[in-house]
Amino acid sequence: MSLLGIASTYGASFTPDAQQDGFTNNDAQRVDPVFAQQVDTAAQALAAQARMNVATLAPCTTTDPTAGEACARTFLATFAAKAYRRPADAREVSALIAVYHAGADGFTYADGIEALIRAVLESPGFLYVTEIGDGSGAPSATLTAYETASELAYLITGGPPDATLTAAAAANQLATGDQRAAQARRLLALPSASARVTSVVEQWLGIETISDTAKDTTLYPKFAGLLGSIKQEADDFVAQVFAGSAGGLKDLLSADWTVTADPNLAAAYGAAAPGPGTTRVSLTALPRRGILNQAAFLSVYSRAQETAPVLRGVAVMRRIACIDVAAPTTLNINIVPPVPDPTKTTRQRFDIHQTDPVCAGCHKNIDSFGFAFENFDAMGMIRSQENNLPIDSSTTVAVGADFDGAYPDSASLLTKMAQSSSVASCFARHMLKFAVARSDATTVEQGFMPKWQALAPAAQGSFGEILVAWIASDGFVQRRFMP
Amino acid sequence: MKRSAPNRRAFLKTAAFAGAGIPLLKILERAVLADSTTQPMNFIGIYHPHGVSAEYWAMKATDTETVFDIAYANCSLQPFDDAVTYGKSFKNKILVIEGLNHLSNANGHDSAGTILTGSTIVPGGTTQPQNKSLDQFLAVDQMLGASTPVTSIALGVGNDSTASGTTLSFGPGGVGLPKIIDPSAAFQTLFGNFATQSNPAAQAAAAHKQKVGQSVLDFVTGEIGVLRPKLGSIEQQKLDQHLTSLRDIEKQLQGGGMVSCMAPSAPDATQFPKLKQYNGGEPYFDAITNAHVDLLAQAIACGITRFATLFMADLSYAGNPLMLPADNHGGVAHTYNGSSVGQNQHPNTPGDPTTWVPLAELNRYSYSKVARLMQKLDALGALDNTLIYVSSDMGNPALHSTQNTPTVLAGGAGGKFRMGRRLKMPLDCPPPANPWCQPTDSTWTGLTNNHLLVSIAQAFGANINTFGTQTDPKNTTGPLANLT
Repeated sequence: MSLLGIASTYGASFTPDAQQDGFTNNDAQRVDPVFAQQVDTAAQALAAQARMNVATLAPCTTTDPTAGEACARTFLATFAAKAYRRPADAREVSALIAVYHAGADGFTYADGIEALIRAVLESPGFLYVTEIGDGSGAPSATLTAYETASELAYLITGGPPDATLTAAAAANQLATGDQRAAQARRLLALPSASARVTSVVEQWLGIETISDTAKDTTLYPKFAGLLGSIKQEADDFVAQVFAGSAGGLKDLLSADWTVTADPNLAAAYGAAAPGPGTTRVSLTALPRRGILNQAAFLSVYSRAQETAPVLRGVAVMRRIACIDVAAPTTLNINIVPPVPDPTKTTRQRFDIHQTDPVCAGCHKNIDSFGFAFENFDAMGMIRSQENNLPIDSSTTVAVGADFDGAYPDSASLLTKMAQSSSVASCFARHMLKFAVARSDATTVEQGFMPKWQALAPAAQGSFGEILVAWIASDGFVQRRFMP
Repeated sequence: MKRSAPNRRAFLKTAAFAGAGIPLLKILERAVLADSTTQPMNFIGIYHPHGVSAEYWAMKATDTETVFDIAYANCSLQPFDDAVTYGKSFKNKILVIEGLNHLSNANGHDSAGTILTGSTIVPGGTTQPQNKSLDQFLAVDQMLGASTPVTSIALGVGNDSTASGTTLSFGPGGVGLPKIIDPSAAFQTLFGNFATQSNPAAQAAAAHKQKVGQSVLDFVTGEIGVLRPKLGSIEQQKLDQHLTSLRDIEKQLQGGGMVSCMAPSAPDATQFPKLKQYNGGEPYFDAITNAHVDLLAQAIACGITRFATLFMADLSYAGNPLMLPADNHGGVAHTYNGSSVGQNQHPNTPGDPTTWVPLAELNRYSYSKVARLMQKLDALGALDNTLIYVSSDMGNPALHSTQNTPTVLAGGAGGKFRMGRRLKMPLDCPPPANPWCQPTDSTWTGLTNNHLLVSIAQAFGANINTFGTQTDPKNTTGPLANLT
């Protein structure tokens, strides 16, 4: 949807979004002074630009400010409705008309329209997504049809409702679970939904920071040149895995293929370059499976010079398996990383964890995951030696989960984890946290997880199906008033 | 019932339409866009001469990152914590970074050219860096200076040379850009076309702009007031924060914004009858520096320009107000005999404490001009949106060392950097390495200021991860950690 018909990248220059649990879709967002200033500046510039198209945007046969008020009201009827994702009420219109006159009186009609546009772009109706219901202040409320439409659109596409969804809201056709599910499925097929799932999954895995990752150029001279392709691989892979309502999680964690158009990246992986007309690269002959064996994840969870088994292990435990790992700061532990030693492998150095009982308490489990990735170097390339010593990526996982067992490397461990029901439910809980946009989603989660359990096994690992199940549920449109 | 702001990218999606624009429109759009990115952020690069007396500059054993004393006797950073002189302490608006290196691969005096370019200096005839400076990259390449009347400005004191060691601003290929050393000329450049005061039409336009701005703010405030009672207390706090933010904007609109944008009066040229170094200008350098500083603050606050550099000078003349030897260069900088802290951590160097104080005094004088700039910007409401990067060509001036250069960031930096701190970079040659190790040695772990240039560029929204020209790309790649 276009408000003004202006190409703009204003959002890109705004201060970063606050994150909760790694997700930027959350209730911690604030209009802080810096953001307010940025919005004010962007609104002024956009309004000034729109003014140049005033004949198209808000046509009027007069330039006289007083006579132009009628044209301004006509313009507002569509413009404010689009910006607010609902029709503006009479009070709002009259407040905006006052702004029109502040701009127009003594000057021109176009000055008034410019002021109007700026005011709408800075208004709370535009900047906030409301969840108020009818505003009666009852202890619980159901979202209005327009609020439901906004909620749906921002959740799935990251943008405002399109015309179809707005029309459904106007006709009050979002009240039932089936109606919302149908709209959700329609939106999930849009390109903006694909970009959204990529972003959400990368935030969940913590690999959206790959673009800000650098490696020691003497040890990893190829990294900077491949970085763009590494990011693209993750983006495209996630998009393909979660396209439609396929059971994406299993492929995400254990696919024996990846996606890249860059023959240099394929070659660095030791794989054959993609054939003509395809970007899919087969990994069947390599010990490399799924997103966690891709260069993006392996590089983010490494240091500039060497691998970081602890970072990799903790990421798998917290993000994939939902196994709690206490932070060293909360345990009041002073971390002393093992010093570099050219006569040992990284794993041999970190094995000190096993000999120190204080470390072993946590690191027995952390390292059982982290060491399984040791056959990948700090930018995710396969290695068989480090410091002229053989690499050992074998591991025995014993955390009391349905994927406990002995594995030669992370590829086989991840293949097993991809089948795990506890991993699948961890995925669902993470996606729900994103959807609910709250950190304290326990109550909502308790209500939702039985509905997720009831999904078909393939649907349980589908981003789209999890969202549809959530959107169709009563919890999606009901809110408790918190005084 | 929660009521959450959609995230910032959502604003983009709502307000924007990624349509097929014709190239002309795209250029126009980008220039206007620049307005939004830079309105919150101005950049001023400042050079001061003669390195630093590290003993009265570096962190003390009792200092921490966030709790530190810069008010002790002889400390050169005193002006940043001197409410008596500057109206308030700016201690929470500085970020002092120890241990950055200017890898110029050149004589220390030519290394000023490395400060904003991150480039080695090509010796010989041209003696210049190999790429443009950060202020030019941001103002020109990134088009962030396109929407202001003056894209960028380079000011200097006493020396209008454009050689590497005498300027901070360099154009494409590392060609030095002209500096303005006459405050009257600077005034003409910055405010010559800014005739609001005498032009009734411009005055009326300014008044109209203020009226519209106030009307929009009143409207938004009113809308929030209607919404607020419908929400729970947690959500009300969000709106209260929003209201506070709006009051900030209103303050600028009413106070800073309009008042500061009345053109200042022209500098009093009788204060500096002579301008040039070695040509009788030295006694007027203090007045020239003050005039430059005041003009810069006005120009930044008025949105005349957003990118500036200022190349300061010493006070090398008999009877200077610091009562330092007439030759600051030979009599202060070269006589400095540093201890280990001022000798790149080399062991067994007690140094000569009597030589530390005069250089610290000169440093304090230089910082007093930065504090003056901060005071003026603050009074005009522009300090929080400004990032000032202050450095010298050298660390230890007697060694002509380009290691451990005195790096000070000042201003609010638009909230992009966490100010009010002191940071220590890793040692260049940590034990057990030879303490005299060189950048080409494998034991060298020193950090170049290129990383800071990357960080600043990124803070301005530039999508880059390298800046400058160095032999080893690791010295040009990646931002400096722990700033944001």
